[in-house]
Amino acid sequence: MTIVRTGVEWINTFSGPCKQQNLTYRADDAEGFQDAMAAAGHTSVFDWGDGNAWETDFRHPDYGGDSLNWSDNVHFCYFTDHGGNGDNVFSIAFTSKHDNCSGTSDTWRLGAKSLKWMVFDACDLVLGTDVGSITGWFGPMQGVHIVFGFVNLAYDHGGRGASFGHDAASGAGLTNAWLDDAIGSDTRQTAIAIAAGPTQWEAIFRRDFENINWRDWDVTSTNWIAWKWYS
Amino acid sequence: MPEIIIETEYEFEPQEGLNIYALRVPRVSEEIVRQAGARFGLRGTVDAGTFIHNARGMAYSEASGWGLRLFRHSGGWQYRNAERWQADDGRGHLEIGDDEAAELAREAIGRYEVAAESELDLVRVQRLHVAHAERGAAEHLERIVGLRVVFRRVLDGLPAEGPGGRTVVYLDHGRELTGIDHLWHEIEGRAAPGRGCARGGASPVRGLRRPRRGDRPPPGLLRARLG
Repeated sequence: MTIVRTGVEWINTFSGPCKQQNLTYRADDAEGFQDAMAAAGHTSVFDWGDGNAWETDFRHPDYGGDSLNWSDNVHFCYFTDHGGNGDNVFSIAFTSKHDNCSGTSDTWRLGAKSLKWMVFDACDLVLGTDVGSITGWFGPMQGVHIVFGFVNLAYDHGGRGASFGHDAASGAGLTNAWLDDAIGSDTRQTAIAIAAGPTQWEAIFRRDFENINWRDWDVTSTNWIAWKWYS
Repeated sequence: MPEIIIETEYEFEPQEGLNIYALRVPRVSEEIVRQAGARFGLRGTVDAGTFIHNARGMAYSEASGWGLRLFRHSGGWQYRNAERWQADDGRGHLEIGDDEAAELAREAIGRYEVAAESELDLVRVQRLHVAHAERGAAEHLERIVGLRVVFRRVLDGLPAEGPGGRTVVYLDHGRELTGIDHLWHEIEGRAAPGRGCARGGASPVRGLRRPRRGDRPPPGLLRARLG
């Protein structure tokens, strides 16, 4: 059995100093995912919520961050709270200012160390599905296999994290499982999965078939990306 | 007499006599899997296929690729072809209108007697897209490789949506069925009629709109005092 290390970060309560609208089910989804994976024998490494979630956990050391000790120190990371997107730079919000109130994808190098799969259960991973909207992810994807998220709005419902964790742990294809479980929580949402590879064939193959047992099939370079979504 | 209090403002007057229904406690067993799968030709035996039991529910699959997964908490099930569901053959592209897609889905639901036509309200047709691009490319290649048709449950003429009331039909690029999800709480019976509707606050009730096709009223918050 391929053992996967998981880490989750989530924010329901924006007590400050950084303020956003409070949410209700983010812990449910993040911890539901991690618990489902753990129930199948995978390793839970960290669970940081509310004020303990920090943007430095995602920022690469090249930009002064600490990602190699947190988000990139696990194989599967699940982040969830508010997201946004401006000029194809994805951002995520935090309530603690450690060091900033938001993290931005132009300071990330996902997969530089251990990270294989990254869930951003938040709004606006991308604003569209055309190549112009997606190619912003060539930069941040530096070894990560697949990034999961939503096109535009995501809704604050519980359950999809646990469903995705159960499916991932059972060896299901990750892209299809994310599309199924993410939309299952609210059919208004457009879930998307973006896979990387050095070649066209590998990116497509990874998008369509990869499961957690492919943990060690490294993405040697992100020359191609392949994505899948419902609309 | 139970009282129903609507905590969301609606545009129209709520109808009188909203019912409160008791839900049947879901059962999960190999026999239930057999019953649910029989309509699809699944045999549901250890000789013909494989059962997997876990905390989530029970899954059964046959060599054909078809299988059924039954969920413990809801009693809902998913019938899918593991090889063809949401799959891409690398070439296919589906062009289809919503009306045709919905008709195909209704035919499948009727063929397999999943739910009565009167119980279903079309929510949306969603198309499954795949695309890929090279770094630096200005264009991408995109195809539609399948679709899903989402229906919500209609009860007493009112639409309900959520874990206990959704049916989804999946088709591939060849318009062939690849799966049906029927996440449907079984109703034990009408627990009690509700006595009128009142708002749980100072504002007057503005009402509950009977949906028209194309409308999608938001889920309402309903609080019921039983007793």
